[in-house]
Amino acid sequence: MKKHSILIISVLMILMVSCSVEEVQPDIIWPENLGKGFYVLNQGNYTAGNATLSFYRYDSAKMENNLFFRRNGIPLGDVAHSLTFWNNYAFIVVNNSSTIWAINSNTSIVGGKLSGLHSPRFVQVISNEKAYVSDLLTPGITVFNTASLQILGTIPTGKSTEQLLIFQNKVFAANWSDYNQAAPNNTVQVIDIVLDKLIDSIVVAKEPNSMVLDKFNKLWVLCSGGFMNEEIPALFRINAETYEIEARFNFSDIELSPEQLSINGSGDKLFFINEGIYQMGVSDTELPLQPFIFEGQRNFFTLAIEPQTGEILVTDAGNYTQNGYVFRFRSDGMLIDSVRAGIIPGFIGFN
Amino acid sequence: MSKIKIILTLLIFQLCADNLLADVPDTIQLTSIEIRANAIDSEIQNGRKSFDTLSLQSLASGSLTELLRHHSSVFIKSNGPGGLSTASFRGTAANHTLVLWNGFPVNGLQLGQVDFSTIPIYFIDQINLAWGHAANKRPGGLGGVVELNNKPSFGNNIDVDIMQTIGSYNTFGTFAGLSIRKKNVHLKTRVFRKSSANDFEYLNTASFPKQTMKQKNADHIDKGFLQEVHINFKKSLLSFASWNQWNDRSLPPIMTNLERGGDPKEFQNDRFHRNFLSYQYFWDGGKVAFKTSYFKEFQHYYLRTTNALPPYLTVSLIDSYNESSSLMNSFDVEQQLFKHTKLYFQFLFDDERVTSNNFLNDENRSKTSVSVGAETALSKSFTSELSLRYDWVEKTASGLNPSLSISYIPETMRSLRFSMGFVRNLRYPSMNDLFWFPGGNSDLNPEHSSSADFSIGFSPKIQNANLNVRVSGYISEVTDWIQWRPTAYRYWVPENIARVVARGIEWQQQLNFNYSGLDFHLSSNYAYTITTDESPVGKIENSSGKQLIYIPKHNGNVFLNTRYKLLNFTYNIGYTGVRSTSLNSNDNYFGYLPSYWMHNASINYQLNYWNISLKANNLLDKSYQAVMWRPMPGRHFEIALHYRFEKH
Repeated sequence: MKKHSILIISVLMILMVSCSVEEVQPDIIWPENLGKGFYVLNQGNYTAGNATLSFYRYDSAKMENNLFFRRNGIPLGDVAHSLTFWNNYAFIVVNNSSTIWAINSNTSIVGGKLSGLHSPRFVQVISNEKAYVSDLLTPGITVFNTASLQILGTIPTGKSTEQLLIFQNKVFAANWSDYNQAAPNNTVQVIDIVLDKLIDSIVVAKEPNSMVLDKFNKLWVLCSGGFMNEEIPALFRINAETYEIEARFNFSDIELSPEQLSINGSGDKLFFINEGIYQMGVSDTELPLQPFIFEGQRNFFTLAIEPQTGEILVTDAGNYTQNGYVFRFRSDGMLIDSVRAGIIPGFIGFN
Repeated sequence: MSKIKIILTLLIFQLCADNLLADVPDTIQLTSIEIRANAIDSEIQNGRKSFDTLSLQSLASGSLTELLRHHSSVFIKSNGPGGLSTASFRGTAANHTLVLWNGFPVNGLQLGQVDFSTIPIYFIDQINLAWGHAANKRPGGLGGVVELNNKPSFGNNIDVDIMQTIGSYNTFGTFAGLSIRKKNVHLKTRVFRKSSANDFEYLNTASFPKQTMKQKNADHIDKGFLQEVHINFKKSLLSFASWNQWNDRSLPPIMTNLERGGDPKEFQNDRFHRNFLSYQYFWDGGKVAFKTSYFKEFQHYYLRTTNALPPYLTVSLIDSYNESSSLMNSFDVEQQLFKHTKLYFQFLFDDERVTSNNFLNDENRSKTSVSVGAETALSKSFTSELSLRYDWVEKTASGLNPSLSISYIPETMRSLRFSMGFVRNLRYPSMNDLFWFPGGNSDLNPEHSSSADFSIGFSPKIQNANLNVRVSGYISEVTDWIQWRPTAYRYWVPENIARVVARGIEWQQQLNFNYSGLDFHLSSNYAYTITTDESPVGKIENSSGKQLIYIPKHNGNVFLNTRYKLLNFTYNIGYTGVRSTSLNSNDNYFGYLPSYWMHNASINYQLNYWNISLKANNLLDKSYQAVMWRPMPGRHFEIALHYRFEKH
């Protein structure tokens, strides 16, 4: 081998490896309104920043995935948790990014952003001037201007808050988590929306994870019994005006973790996930014994009922590392179809 | 039973083969302890690679991360400068890379992995990579082993070594070493301190709108002290080394999480004290070595969030303390048998303890291994090595882990070497896998791997040049691969669930030549890796056949060094292929990270005792991410002034 060829080979190798590789650019142009359908917030993996937004279009029976990125050219963030609609906007709470995006709910184009929060979970709009946001870590509810997205103040609660539910002139706030706090997580707090003040507290069981109001203005609260299953899980029916607990339905096994209490549009049927989807009438006196829809090999994660058709939508988070699915069932429990969403499909919101 | 018969047959064959031979070179005895090497002295052997002194010296102020990234095909996953950096061999996970310091594992007991950014090259005299059958001396290295060694050198001199570095982003490094050599005693002390504000600018493509930002909360300070004492008693050697280090680092949020309110603070402080004592006795044709070590590690993780306005009262606080210690012992005997065979025996006993506020109780476990083996030259062309290792954890037997390698050098073409190897190994679950609360699974089994590899080495005789090329292929299977899985409860639980098959091709090349009075050294490394989960669960979940996340199919680098008189110039190009960040890389915009090229250059000038160097990293100012949403610095520089004085 000649010296020259060695040098030529060396230079060629350097040049060869210096070639550049084309990077794929996202498709961010998609100019049309989304139409009728529902949003799915895909939580993504904690600290991976891979939360995404999906939209299921009824007209095409197709799920549009990665919508937020495709429309705005930026990622949604880290752990997308909940979605709240207000006029033509939707507030997307991105928990670990400490951010709330305000998007146009028809196009999903960003209209504004609220930053500087800690660990936001749910938004409850009070009026055009005021909205509440709960927080997993802060012992208080943050108040912000709904239109301008400016923070107005904080309502001290003494413990973290999760789901918020407005009824008349008050908001019920579930105290779901006891993570990193000494205060017990077995209450539903009552906030006066005129005074922006905590006025009462209803003791239920550990981890009230979800709440709905029925057609009789009864507040239903589902408690999973604690992170380590310290208590028997229970479903509570509460008079929303007097805060009196009218009924308590205990689950059969302390090992169970029922979640995702939902209600149909007419407010007379409750649904929840408990290794399967259960259905219960609001006048029933016992918990259902058999699932309405069996889970099988699926990993049911979140649940929502389409308010007009009664369609049952449930997400399947799979192994939490791959894209999950959304299953659509008729109101009688018959499977309509299943569509692929993003990683850990969670909150479902109807446009 | 049939397996045992086969293994015994092979062992007997190994021993009998010795008597069939004649006129083969003597087996080399391992009595040499002098390592003062030439400038270019790297080795590529079957299943093993030794880094040359030039590589170590050119990165003396850096960490093992840079060395492996620039000079090997081992894949490095880095969270950024000063951040967590892990290495994976041959398509396996970070905790399948075993790192040995003077023969003892430094892998953390809780996670089972090593942060390569905390290992200063300045403290290490010799660094080897081993894989396949060569990585089977201990449990743990299912992918491969990184060997870090401190070596004595006796003489009659005093050696003073001082280096100061100044780099971009307020990065400073001070390194100092004092070596006193006598005929029978070698005392060596090394200290270092490195710090960086690490506040580099980057384009945040996750912000709204996209904007150039400065990296925040990424500063780090690392301090270390290494003391060695070696005493040579003619036929025996007593060695002691104590490696102590203090690493304090702030932990920056990812690019999507920069808008948390208040004054959040997140950091991790690590301290470790690793002490090692060995006694080796040599005789004609053999040696015995007793080594013991005591490692103690502390980790403090802190995360505090505050309310939005001063005085920033604490809103949430995680203040986690973890402490681990391990007492490890080894007893080795080697004996030359007849003319062409060496037998060896090894006994290992480790005791590990962890105290953590993430465990319900203090936990401990003991591990024992016994190995026997033989290396022999079967003929002028054939050499082989067979080892049998049996392992226990507590009093439970973990089974037999054999390895076999055979090399063939054709008599008609001695520049060619064909090698093949088979190995079975295991890795015990980490202490977090077993005892983390909640979720730890004390019923976990060890992970088991079986692998086979084949390589061709080519070292032709070329006038005024020296070429060494090695091409290899491998396939390995890891069963009972531990994965943390969701459960009906809200916490995750580790299970022996996956079956990962990795296969690939590797290329290593080194070329030294002189052209027009210039000395050139050109080396290149490349790995093509396919690694997939082929378990039944993977098939059900549709993840089967998909490349595991954060393992690129293509990874390689080229290193060019040229020397003219007192001037030395190096250029390095690294390529990292596309990496999946989820198993849905085909239909998710965040499912992969694009490939990137990285160019680095340095120039240094030697004048008497002084050496001054200038390094430019990321020369083309490439914006890239090694881990999703973790920013990396653009073009940045380092100047180093190195003084080395030797008095006889």
